[in-house]
Order: sequence, then C-alpha cells, then structure tokens
Amino acid sequence: MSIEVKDVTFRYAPGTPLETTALEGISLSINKGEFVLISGAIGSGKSTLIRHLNGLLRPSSGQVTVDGIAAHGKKVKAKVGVLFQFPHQQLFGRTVFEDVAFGPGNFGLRNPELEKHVHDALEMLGLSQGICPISPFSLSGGQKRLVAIAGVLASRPDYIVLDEPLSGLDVGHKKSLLSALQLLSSKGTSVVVVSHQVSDLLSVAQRVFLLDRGSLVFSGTPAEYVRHSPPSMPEINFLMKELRSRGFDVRDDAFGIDDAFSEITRVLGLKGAVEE
Amino acid sequence: MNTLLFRYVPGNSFLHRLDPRVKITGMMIVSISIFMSSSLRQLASVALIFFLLLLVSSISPKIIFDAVRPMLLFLAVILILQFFLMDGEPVFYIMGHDATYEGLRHGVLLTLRFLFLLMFASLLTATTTPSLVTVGMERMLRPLPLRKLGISSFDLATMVFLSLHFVPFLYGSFSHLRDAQISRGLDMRRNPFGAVYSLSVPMVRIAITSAEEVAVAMESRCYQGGHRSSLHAPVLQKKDLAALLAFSILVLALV
Amino acid sequence: MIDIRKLRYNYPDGTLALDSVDLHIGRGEFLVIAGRNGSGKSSLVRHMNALLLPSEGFVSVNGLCTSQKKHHPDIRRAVGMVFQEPDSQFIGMTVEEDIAFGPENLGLPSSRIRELVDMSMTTLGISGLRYLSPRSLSGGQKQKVATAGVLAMEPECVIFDEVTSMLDPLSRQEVLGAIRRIHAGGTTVIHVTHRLEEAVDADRLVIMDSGRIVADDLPRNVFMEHDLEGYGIEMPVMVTLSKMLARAGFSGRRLALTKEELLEDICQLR
Repeated sequence: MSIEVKDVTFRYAPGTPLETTALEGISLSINKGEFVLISGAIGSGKSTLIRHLNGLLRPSSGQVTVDGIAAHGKKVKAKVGVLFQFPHQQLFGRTVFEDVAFGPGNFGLRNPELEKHVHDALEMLGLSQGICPISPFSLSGGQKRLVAIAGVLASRPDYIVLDEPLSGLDVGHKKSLLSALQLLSSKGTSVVVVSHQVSDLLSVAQRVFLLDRGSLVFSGTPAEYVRHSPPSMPEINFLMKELRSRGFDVRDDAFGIDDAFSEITRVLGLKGAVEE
Repeated sequence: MNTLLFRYVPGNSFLHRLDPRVKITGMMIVSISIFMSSSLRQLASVALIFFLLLLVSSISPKIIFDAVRPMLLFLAVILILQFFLMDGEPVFYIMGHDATYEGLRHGVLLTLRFLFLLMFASLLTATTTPSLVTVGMERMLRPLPLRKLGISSFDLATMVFLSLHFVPFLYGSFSHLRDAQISRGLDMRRNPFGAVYSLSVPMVRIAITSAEEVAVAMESRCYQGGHRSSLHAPVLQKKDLAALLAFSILVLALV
Repeated sequence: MIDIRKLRYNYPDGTLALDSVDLHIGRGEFLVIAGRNGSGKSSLVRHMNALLLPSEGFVSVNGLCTSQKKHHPDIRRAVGMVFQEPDSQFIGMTVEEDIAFGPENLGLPSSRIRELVDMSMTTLGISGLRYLSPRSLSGGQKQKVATAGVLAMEPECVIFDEVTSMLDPLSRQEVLGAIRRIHAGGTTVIHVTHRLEEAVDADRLVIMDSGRIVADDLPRNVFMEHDLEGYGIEMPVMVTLSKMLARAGFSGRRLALTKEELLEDICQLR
C-alpha cells in the first residue's frame, strides 16, 4: 500500500514557445502511515508534484500509482486528500458543517456517518462542535484554515497532502495542527507536508524529499537531511555546523532546539544538561 | 496561453517608436478599408501592406502566427458555414446541403477579413506596450465631452488597464480553486449544481477581496482619479504625421 | 515623524481593532511591529498613511493630521507601503510601468518619472527585469518590484506589511537585505512581521496583542522581559537556545540574539 511515482517528467505548454519542464525524472514512494516532508524553494516543482499525486495533472512521461491504481480517476481522489495553499479561499458553505461535509458527501457518505466524520475531523483539530452551525466566513483567519483542513480530513483519506499548511499560522494553531497530523500518521494515514519552511517539520517527519528546479536532489531521514546541509536548512543547524568547524564535537545530525541544547551542554560539560 | 495573444515584443524599430495615436489611427483606417474591400485583389493589397509593415517592425512572423492561431478553428467554422449556407451555384452536395461557389467566395473573403484584422491588431500590440496603447487612447478620448458622463478620460484608461490586469489574475485564482474543489471530490458533470455553487461563492469573494486590495494599493500610491501624468509622454512629431499621411495614401491607393 | 495618540479604531462591523494606542516614530528609525494574526498590527500601520482613519484619537505624519482629506496626497507620498500579497498590488503590465504608477499619480513630467524609475530599480538591483511582466517573477523579485514602486515616490518612510511571509528562506534573506539597505540610506522603516528573528537588528520592537501595544522597547529588552508565546508569537530560535543555556548555568554576558552572538558566547565559554 503506497503511492508510487515512477520516473515522472512534466512539461507545461508542450510544443509552444512557453514550454517549461516543471518536473524531470522524479521517482519516489510514499508508504502507508509515513510522515513525509517535501521541501524546496518556491518554483522548485513542489506544487506540480502534488497535483500528480491525486491525478489533477497527468505526467508527460512516467507514471503515478496509488495502491496500485493509476492516479487519475475518481477513486484515487477519495484515497488521496489534497489541501492546497490559501485553503481559506475554498470555503463556500453557508455553515461550517456544510463546508466540511462537502468532500465526504461527494465521495458518497451519508448521515449518520457523515455527521460523525465531520465532528471527528473538527475535534481532531481542536475546534469545538459549536462552530458547526455558524458561517465559516465569520471565523478568524487561523480558524478558517483549520476548517478547510477539516474538510479534507473528514473524507478520511488514506493519504493526506498539505501544501504550506503552517505559513501564517499562530503558534497555538500551528501546534494543534502538527499534533493532529502526528496523531493521523500514528493511526496509519500517510501525511505528506509540502513546505519551504522546514524548521517546524523536521522533528515530526520520518522522511524528507528535497526538490530543486524540478529534480529530486535528496531523499532520506531528517538527520540525513541536515547532514546533507542544504541552503534551506534551519538556522539552528547552521549554528551546529559552525560549532563543528570551530572544533566543537557536536553531532552533525542534531536537529530541533532540544537536540541542539543537549549537544551544546554535553560538549561544554554544563551542569543541568538533562533538565531541559 | 493568454500570454501569447496580443503580446508586446520589445524592440526599437520605426514602428515601435511611432506615436501610439498614429498607430491607433492607422489601425482604424486599415480596419475600415478591410471591411470595405470586396474582392480578393483588394485583400491581396491589404496583405502586401501588412507584410511591408511586418518587415519594418522586425517582428518575427511566428509571433503574429501565435497570436492568430487560437482563432483559426473559429475562422474555419465561419468558412464552412458560409460555404454551405449561402445560396448559389452548387459545387457539391453533402448531408442535405449544397456547397456553393458563392458561399466559398464569401466565406474566404469573410475569414480573410477577420484574419487580417487580427494580424494588424497583434502587430499594433506587439509594437506598442499596453500602457502606451492606453495613453494613446486616453489622449484621443480627451477632447470628447466624457466629463458630462461623470468620468474622465484618465478613469476610462485606468479601467481598460485594470481589466487587462484582472483577467489573468482571476483566471489563475479560478484554476487554483477548481483544483481544490475537484480534490474534494467535486464531479462537475455529475453534480453541476454543486460545481456552480462551490466555485462561484469563493470566486465572488476572491474577486471582491482582490479588487479591494488593488484599490487600497492604488490609493496608497496616491491614485486619486483625475489628472495623472505618464512615464510615456508621446509627442507627435513631423515624422509621425508624415508616416500617417504616407500610410493613408498607400491604403487608399492600393485598396 | 509619525505621531499616534489615544488611537482607537473599530472595524466597519463594529468590532474593536485598536484600543488606546500611543506611538511616536522618529525620523530614521527601524521599527519592527509584531503580533499574532488579528492583533491589530495591519490596522495600525494602515493608519500611518491614511488608508484607515481613527474612530477616536489622532494620527499625524510630519505634523499633518490624517483625518483631513486634503493632506492625504502629502501623507501618502511621505509614507509608502509595501503589501503582503504581491500579485494584488501590481498595476503595470511591465516592471517599469508598475514602478512608474506612483510618480504618474503625482503628475510629474515624464523625464522625471524615468529618472525616478531608473533610480529605484538600481537601488533594488532589478534593472534587468525592466520589460518583464511583474506576474512572471519569483516571490522575492515581486516584492522587490513592489518596493521599487514605493521608493520611486521618494518617501521619507516605508512600511513593509508582512512582505516576507509568503517567501522561501532564500528570497526572504534577499528582501530583508533590501529593507536594510533602504534604512541605511536614511529612510525610516517600519517592518511588520510575525517572525521575530527579523527584529533582532531593529532599533525598536513593538508587540501588539488584541489591539493594544503590550511591549515597546529595544528588541533585547523585549525578549528578556516578556513571555511572547502568550502573545501567540515565537521567540527567535537563537534567543530561546540562549535562554535555555542560561538556565542550565551558562551565564553569558547578555542574552544572545543572533547565531553570531551565540556562537561567540559559546566559544568564550570553552
């Protein structure tokens, strides 16, 4: 059970003067229950890649399969839930309930299961069921975003793909979203987060893919990712790198602030290193 | 694809440097003569004029072809309709309709007229930046008593400009939104009502929000309506008027 | 140059956006305003170039009160604003024409407009983009074009309203570099952000929460004395690490704000 991307190349506007190659020979697989981070600068092909995962785009060459089925076709859209950037823009329902129920309803779910799916999705993101009857447009920006995410979760896809879900979220909303995603992945849903902002995600992801100008240039664990030291790695890893270059024996695959802290206190021999 | 249509191609040819008002006037003269021409000989002269201008502009014929190409199917339909629907001497017979010689002649003339109009228009936009087109239009509209209608020629020019600006932006937002709703299982064919509802509600909001944002950005940069100056200040020179005169004579003589 | 007193602002729907805000911004300052979404930071800066007008209290720019409409052109010329969403602030079809939009509104002669356009493109290093469509550019380039459009009006103060929030780390660094250069050239800079690492080299850091100013001090002092998580914003990672180390018995001379400072402190401790 996995999403398999095999040697996918995609060209926009083929055969015209505007022809551009957005993806070049990409091969990767996303396994059941895995938490994957796809990183890369804006314009590196991340958005084009995720449009292949649920068949919105078809590769110019190569193929994408989801659990053995070709990625275009309606069945796959129920298996792979995709949340694009600026998801608050897709809200349209008169009530939060209507909006969140749109996806699962389209996939054929009816009451009472539908109601349960909607409530579960809202609860998982820390939203109260009290917001069901109100208009989504009266919510704050962060809440709108979470409602849009609930709209994808409520379909209970086997794979959930989110494009820049953290950008512009407050600390509180960020934490509730990250813990919901971790919970999902521990229960067997694959989570794919696409982001150029990696620092919040390295400590939760199990595998990282790095795209650069349409090519896959790295694939490995978060620890291997920081050892690879791409220009977009978190600032804290630049600190660790410089410490190493000045002769401090800190690990080069430490990431996240807690890791960095225990490494620094270890090499400095500070007391109370275990406390944090 | 919309970037190919009526695209500006930077350059420094005689045609590029010509005053936009002259080019717009020339465009009007040539349009009138295209519509008045009733024979293939006249249209051949129009073609000659076009290729002369193309040569002067040093624009690659491919640019013009790219601009015209999206319309070719439409033109073909017109041609075929004319071919069959016109009464006259039958050439051959298919599915209960006569294809007539008159129909063919008429259809060819009509499609060629459209084709030439498109080609001249794309030559105009290829050698003139959109803002010069608007400045040119604004200057030409200025003497009209638009004030009485409560708008200035500046407002009108800005409106034209903003609509040119908004179309690609809204189109981009629309395809983003469509992708999002299709990902949520929207099936446009099986659920047309749901499609209209789930696309139009957010689209109206996006249009309103972005219109507001542009309005705020314009206001913040001191836009007040009414008088503005322009980066481009076209000044009619002798060579512009001479070019217009020469062009008019050429068109009148040939067509 | 900007003086705000007892400012109170209600949204058109009646909810309170700003409450008793007092702020004085001097010429040449580099001020960062931070706060969670909906804390009122955008509403506050929109009062500084008369895009919003106070419900109560008053705002003046160079002594001109924003509630008088006749002052708006002068105020907006003195205080320019670059917005978060680059696509909806472009008005020109080419980079050059977009940058010219402001000076055109001022009714300047076309030779002067050309000078200003060239000058601001050079300052931002985007002269090579002159004839391109602003939409075809990358996020970082877009924000530079938008900034050039404001600079071409020769403002005394430029407000950057969350201009870095949609950018990837590398383009963010480029845009921040441009902001610093503009400040170094003598222009007053007000930078609104929710990333506090962008505030470490500011002259002053203002934190907003629920429509009020809850901190206004040197960035170092704000980081030391306030619990910023409570206001929904994250401390810069270097500051957090520096605080953790201090608690673990590492008494640095001061709170380190940047990677360089922390590196220096750790090296001294060896």
